[in-house]
Amino acid sequence: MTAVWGIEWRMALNDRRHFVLSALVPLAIAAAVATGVAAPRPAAALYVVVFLTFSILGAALPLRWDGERGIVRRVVRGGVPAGRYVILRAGAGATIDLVQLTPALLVVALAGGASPRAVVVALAALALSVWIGGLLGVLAAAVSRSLAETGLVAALAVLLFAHSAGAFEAADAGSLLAWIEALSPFRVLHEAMLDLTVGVTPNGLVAALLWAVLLPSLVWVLGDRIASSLGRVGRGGLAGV
Amino acid sequence: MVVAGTSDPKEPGRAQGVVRARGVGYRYGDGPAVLSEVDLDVGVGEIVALVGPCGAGKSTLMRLLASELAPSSGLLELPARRSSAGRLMLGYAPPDDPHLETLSGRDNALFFARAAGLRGTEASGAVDELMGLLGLAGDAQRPVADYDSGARRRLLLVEALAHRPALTLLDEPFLGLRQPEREALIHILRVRSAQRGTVVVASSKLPLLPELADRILFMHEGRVVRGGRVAELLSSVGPATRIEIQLERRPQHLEARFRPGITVISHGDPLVLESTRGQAAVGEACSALIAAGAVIRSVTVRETDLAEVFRRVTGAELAS
Repeated sequence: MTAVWGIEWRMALNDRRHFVLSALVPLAIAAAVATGVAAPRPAAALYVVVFLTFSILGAALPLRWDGERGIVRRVVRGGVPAGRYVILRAGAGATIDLVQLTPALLVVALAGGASPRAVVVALAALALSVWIGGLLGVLAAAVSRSLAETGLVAALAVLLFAHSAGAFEAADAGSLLAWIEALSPFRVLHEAMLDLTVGVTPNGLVAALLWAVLLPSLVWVLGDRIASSLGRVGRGGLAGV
Repeated sequence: MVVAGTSDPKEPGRAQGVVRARGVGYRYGDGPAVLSEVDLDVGVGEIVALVGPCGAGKSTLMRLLASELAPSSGLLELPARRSSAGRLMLGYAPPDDPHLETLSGRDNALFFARAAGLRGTEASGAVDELMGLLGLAGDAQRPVADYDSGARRRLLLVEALAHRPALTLLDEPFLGLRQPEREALIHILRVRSAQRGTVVVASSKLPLLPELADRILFMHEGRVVRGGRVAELLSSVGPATRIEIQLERRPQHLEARFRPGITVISHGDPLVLESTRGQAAVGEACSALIAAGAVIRSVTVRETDLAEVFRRVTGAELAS
């Protein structure tokens, strides 16, 4: 188990240039917005989109790439159950994302004069979000048929989930969007980012926790099918041959 | 249909890597059959070599045995995927396979050894030993991205062998290996065989196979056309000497020039004769040709070897 986690971290650290860039780019965006004149709601929407892009797209594209060049097939053939592999990989990716995105979040908190409690809540929301986002990235890679398609599907997922979190529109009470927002895994992230600047109490933690538990269960159950769609694997593995 | 084996100790043969195929066929998509009616039995501790030219179906059969593909027809029985102790029972090295490029060769091998069920020092000990034997010790800490194709091949062998699988499948294992590493690999596989490990190799390196394999199976056009021990295969076509003669000038009615025991196999260029009287027939055939007015440019004599047996069985050349 720890072998998958360990190699993901080791590979990330081996490519130091990419690791540092992945931290610097969101930091630069967050710093520019947080120290500029943007209103809190659009700014929070932008933070959510940036964080979801890094977690969903950042999980989907490398997984698709590794699937197409046969790494997923090799690892599954080599003895790691498919569901376990993609979940551990998403978990390791989430911790890497968290390390890379935390400086951006702290800059937002610093610029907004946020309370320590709000920072802790926002960090917890970010941790949950990159975990869920990574698993959504796994699904985006699995349902697409090429690297380019994965990019498009993941980008669409980013926008849809950001919208469902209320990032682009304040939902009227009782409306369909309000219901969707209540169930959104990223509402807590959006509201936690607002909390850093305007001090609203974040909602949506329960929904995020439910997603954080149920989504890996789904990925586990679908593990063989997911790996099969990423690259052909035989028995012990997959039925897609 | 694939039947997974069991690690049940009441079925020790199945537990330790016996392969059984009956009427196995395979086709890629709607394409023509690349394997047809393959029957195969590989016993515990046996080393079997699949031999055939490019396109004979060796690699497809290996992929079926590795469960990378499922047969289109027939029955294929394979060992259990894991032993009762949780160890992966299969070790498979295809001719080419991806690695985790930014990690070192040793880290790659350790990752796959642990995934296969080895723990801690057991994994590192097995990996270090094999990397040393196969000439990779000096490259162990380098990223795989810096490896040449030969080193990548050797790393695949390390990864296939480190966990001591019950069934080892090596597709063209000698490619990219220098002589000392070939000898080391043969030694490793013979030791594994003595420890009841089953090995199937697909190879076109015929000269190495008599030293390695207990049995050789000839494959041609998707079928296993003949198989047996090396001595059995050699004797199956009878003792014969093949004489290839290139002529400047060719006399008429060649058959009539030779005494019984020398047969014309091909009237082309070169003229191919076969004799059951050994090398003594070479001088006799040349004398007969010269007496008939032929001018001989060159003479090549071949004793029956596996390539010759293959040629006789299939009518095709085995590029080696």
